[in-house]
Amino acid sequence: MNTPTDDPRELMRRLDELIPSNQEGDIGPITDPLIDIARQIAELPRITLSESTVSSIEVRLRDAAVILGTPTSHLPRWGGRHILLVSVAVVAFMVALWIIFDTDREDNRTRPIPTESPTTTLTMTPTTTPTPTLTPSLTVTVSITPSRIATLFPSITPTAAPVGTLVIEGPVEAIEGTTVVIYDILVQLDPQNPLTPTIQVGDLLHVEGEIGVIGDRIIVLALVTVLVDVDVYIGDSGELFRDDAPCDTPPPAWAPAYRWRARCEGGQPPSDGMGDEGMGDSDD
Amino acid sequence: MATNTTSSLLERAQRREPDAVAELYRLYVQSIARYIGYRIPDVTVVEDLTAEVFLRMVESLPRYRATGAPFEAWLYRIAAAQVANYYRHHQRHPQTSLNEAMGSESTPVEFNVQKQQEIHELRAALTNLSDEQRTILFLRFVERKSHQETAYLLGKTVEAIATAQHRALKQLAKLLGTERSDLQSLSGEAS
Repeated sequence: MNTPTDDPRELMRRLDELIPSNQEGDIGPITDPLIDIARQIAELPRITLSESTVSSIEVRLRDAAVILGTPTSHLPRWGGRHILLVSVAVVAFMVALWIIFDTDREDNRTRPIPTESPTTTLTMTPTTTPTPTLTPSLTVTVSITPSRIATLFPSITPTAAPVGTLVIEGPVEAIEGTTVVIYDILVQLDPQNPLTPTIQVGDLLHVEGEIGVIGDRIIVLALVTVLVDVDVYIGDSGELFRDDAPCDTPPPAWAPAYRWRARCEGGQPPSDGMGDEGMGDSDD
Repeated sequence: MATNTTSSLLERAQRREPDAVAELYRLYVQSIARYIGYRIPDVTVVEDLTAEVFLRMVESLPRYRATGAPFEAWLYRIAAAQVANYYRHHQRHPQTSLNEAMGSESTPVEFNVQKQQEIHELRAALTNLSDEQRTILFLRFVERKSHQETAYLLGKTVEAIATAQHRALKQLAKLLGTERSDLQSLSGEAS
């Protein structure tokens, strides 16, 4: 082997020559050790998914698209949407209470529990419209389903009554351990979720979860947690970086941290449509 | 890069039209599977994580804001997070065994032992690079994208890519050189 190329641009030129882009095929004789490493990477075995695997995933995606339905993100991001979410959260809270206590009464009358899993869909239009031009309609789905609480959160004893699901989005008002408060509603986050310890008071959180009861209090057991307004980058070894960190806390080399760099280094602001998305989303 | 096609598809997929979601998925599924396979050479895990990436895509699409940058980059970021989650939950560093390296469906049966050893060492050395360095090498040499395309996908300049690539290859050469001379000296001692 010859001496490795020491100039990045010269190496790039020689790589373009010896391992051309957008072309498959054999790579000719190589004497530079750096280019030889590149050759080895290019020749690594590639995994190609079989058509049956691709098709089975596609079926799941189509189902997910139907189940998740039409998004509501065309609504204003904050302000009007905020008010709507408060209204929805309060109404959903009342519905959840009604379901739980009503079912308790039914249980006392030893009424048989239906074997099917009915789904009740309530469509509500808030009485206070945030902007005169906007007439939003949100759907709260309360589904009577077997609870996953026991498997996900063994430390919490769920109610024997049917359990509803709830979607809530709002600022974190308080944190106690892995429990947060959003609009006065307790939300139990998954302690195994890497996002959980990074959440701070004031963060805008989107939570989808099941409704449980501890004592006489309702608690939402988060199944999906999304940190809406902050990107959190997760390194290979599990370390985390919040993109809203102060300028005296630089990001590690692996974190793109577009917002931090734009804010603190005058770098390129997020222009990829994913700055708002980042790794801040995490399923429990 | 099917940017124009993608932008029209994206609008429909953001409304969660199943056909659009499926079409978008078909456009990128093999690239994402290769990316995951480059990091985790285990077909079963690749299948699972690829499915997870696209399920996350469906969930998050309504919040995605297209601003002219490639949609692919967003998917690579979701995939990178899934790979990180995988290693975190498995509480181990991304190491590969020879069997794992042989796990690829595309690996020919008559693969020779020396080649297997090379792959094993290379995969182990790659784990010492940063996430960004690994992605650069993947895009340029596995996906065979040009340096310009790589820079575009990662939101960097070509110069920055050239420098990072040079540094990554030097680091790999050093790691592999050390490992191989160690192995040679060990086999010399044994004989």
